[in-house]
Amino acid sequence: MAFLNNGGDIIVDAVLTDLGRQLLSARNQFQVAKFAVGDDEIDYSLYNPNNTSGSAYYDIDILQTPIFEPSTYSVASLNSKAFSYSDQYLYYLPTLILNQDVNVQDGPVSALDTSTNAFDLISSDSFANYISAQTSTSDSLIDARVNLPSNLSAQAVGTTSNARAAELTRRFIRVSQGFNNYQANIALGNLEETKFSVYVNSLFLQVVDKNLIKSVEPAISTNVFDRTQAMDMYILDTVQNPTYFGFVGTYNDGTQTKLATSLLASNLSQVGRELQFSLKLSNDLASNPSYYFSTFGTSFASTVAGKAVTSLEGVSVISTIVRVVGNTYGFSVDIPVKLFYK
Amino acid sequence: MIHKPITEDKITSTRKLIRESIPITGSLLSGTYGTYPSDTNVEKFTSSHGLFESVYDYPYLSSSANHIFDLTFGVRSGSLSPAPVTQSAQKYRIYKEMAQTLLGFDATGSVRNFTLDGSTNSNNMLFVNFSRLLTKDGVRIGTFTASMGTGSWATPFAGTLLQLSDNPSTNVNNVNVDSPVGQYWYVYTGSAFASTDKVGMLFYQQGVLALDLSKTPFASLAYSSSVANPAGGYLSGSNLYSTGTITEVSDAFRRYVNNLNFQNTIQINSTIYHCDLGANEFNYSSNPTYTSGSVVRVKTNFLDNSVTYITTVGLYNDSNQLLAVAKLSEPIKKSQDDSITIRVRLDY
Repeated sequence: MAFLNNGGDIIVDAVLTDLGRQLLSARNQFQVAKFAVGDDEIDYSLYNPNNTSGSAYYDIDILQTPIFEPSTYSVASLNSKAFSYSDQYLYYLPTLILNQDVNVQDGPVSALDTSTNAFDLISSDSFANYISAQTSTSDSLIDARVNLPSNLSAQAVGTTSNARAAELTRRFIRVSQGFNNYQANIALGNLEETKFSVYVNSLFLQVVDKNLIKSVEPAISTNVFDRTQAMDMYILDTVQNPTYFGFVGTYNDGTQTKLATSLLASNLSQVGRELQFSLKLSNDLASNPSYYFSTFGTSFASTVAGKAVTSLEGVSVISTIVRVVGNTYGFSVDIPVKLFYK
Repeated sequence: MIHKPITEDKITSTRKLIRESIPITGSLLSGTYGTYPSDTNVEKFTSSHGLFESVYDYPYLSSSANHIFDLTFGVRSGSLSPAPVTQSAQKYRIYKEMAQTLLGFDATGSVRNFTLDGSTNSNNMLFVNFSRLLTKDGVRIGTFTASMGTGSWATPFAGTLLQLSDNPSTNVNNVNVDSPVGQYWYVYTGSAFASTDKVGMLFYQQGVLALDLSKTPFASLAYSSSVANPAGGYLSGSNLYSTGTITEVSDAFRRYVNNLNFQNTIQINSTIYHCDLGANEFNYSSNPTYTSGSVVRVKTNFLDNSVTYITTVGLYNDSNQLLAVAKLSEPIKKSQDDSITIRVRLDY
């Protein structure tokens, strides 16, 4: 009788993250309470159920994925996590989607600036005045001038009307969660709302570079971490009771039951809550934009909000992202944001 | 569920000792970088305190340089008559500082002097203070060896080398424990390990080698401030103790070092977290590539097992803050068919 192969024993060495070291240095604050497993490096599109060599080869490419060494940067690891769910036979999973339907009646929503492929955040009055001549494209601008020490904040921006300026101050970014598949609607049929709730994230995490921007509406109470290292990204807080538009009911299109799709464009359906928030400049950046843009910004010579900008006009840009993470199952979406300064 | 709690019964603590072999070649100590005695990997403090010199493994002005050890020399106050001409106060200070730190005080409150036989004071001590970078938690008992040249000043390694070691293997547990800084034992010449062969002391946890330069084996070691002009004094001789500076004595010593070897000790305290991935757990992923059009990619129909491929384990606190990260060497397939325990070790 042969020996058992016990080579499957898995022992791995862990490294402390920057946050772990910080908490280790603070008395009694380093307490491991739970674990999670991640698969950041995995590209599941490599799964090939049509491999002619048989099912043992479906995932051969995935299993050969090279793995990075652990990063000590706490934000850099476990960006996608495995999660548990009692039903092992789910065929569809929801995703977080940037909702750019600017025509909904429930409130003004911003869409990505198609010329920068990002949300544009105004960081100076001079830039706002400069760009606002393009009134037809100002939907993509999120007005952050209220943070600036300027007496222009209550006035019209350039040639824009007062009403338009007021509207701009309440532009939102909206993230929806749902099935990006009509077939999912068909398969789920008229499942009840309670069934949908198992998929739904009721809490969200926002990860932003707190040196640059902050999130408002819903208000973020306090920063979890107050560190001063420039250009780091930090988890700001868990957003409780996010703004949402309620669960969408089902409807029958005459032949079968479907979920309503009113809030999402094209073929996107929705089963859950939405997170709606706007962005403002961080207080530090608002009070000292020249420092931040000279340190972290780059010269911008392209098109923003439909307006061509040349290198002679002295516009700087900082590119960053806002990550929204569903707290229940970890689905996430990265939202590109560009900060402009002139 | 993304995070799974780790209960107390899934956490264990272990302790183990790691050893590293530390070989220091003598060529590194003189002549490799610059021209002896002005080696660029030896930092001297002659223009300031002049109390010791530091030896590095590379020119010390480079950020790549690692500190190997410090060399210094002390004389017991009142032992040399007449008193040292040069740096007498500094030599007394060094002796007393090293003695009170390494040996402590007697019942009367007086500093205990270095002695190799329990009664005769060792009055002229050269100290090699190894860097903590090398010794870590301490020198391993019974692993210290060194060899020194016995040749002329111009050719120090011609002829028979002087062999030094801290302990015979048959007597490995024989250490003294009456020092306030841990264990120590004697350094012998040759292989007989007779009490008359003692030439110094090695303080294991403190990482300090203390050699009595009054001992006969060192008497033939010459000293000169110039290789080109080898006429000079000797390491063992009142002329150098008296007229030489601490730096000059240290220079003379390192010129004769052929090699130094020891093992260090590193105490590793580990906490092991047993992360149990049950059969029905962690079989779905939030990886953006996990779905296509909201359809799980690793399924061809509803009845297929859900599968994930694990590459990383993260340890979190109650606030979901990531405290530590461990990576697997290759992806592990996780499905309903598998129950896996990953042991995550965190070393301190």
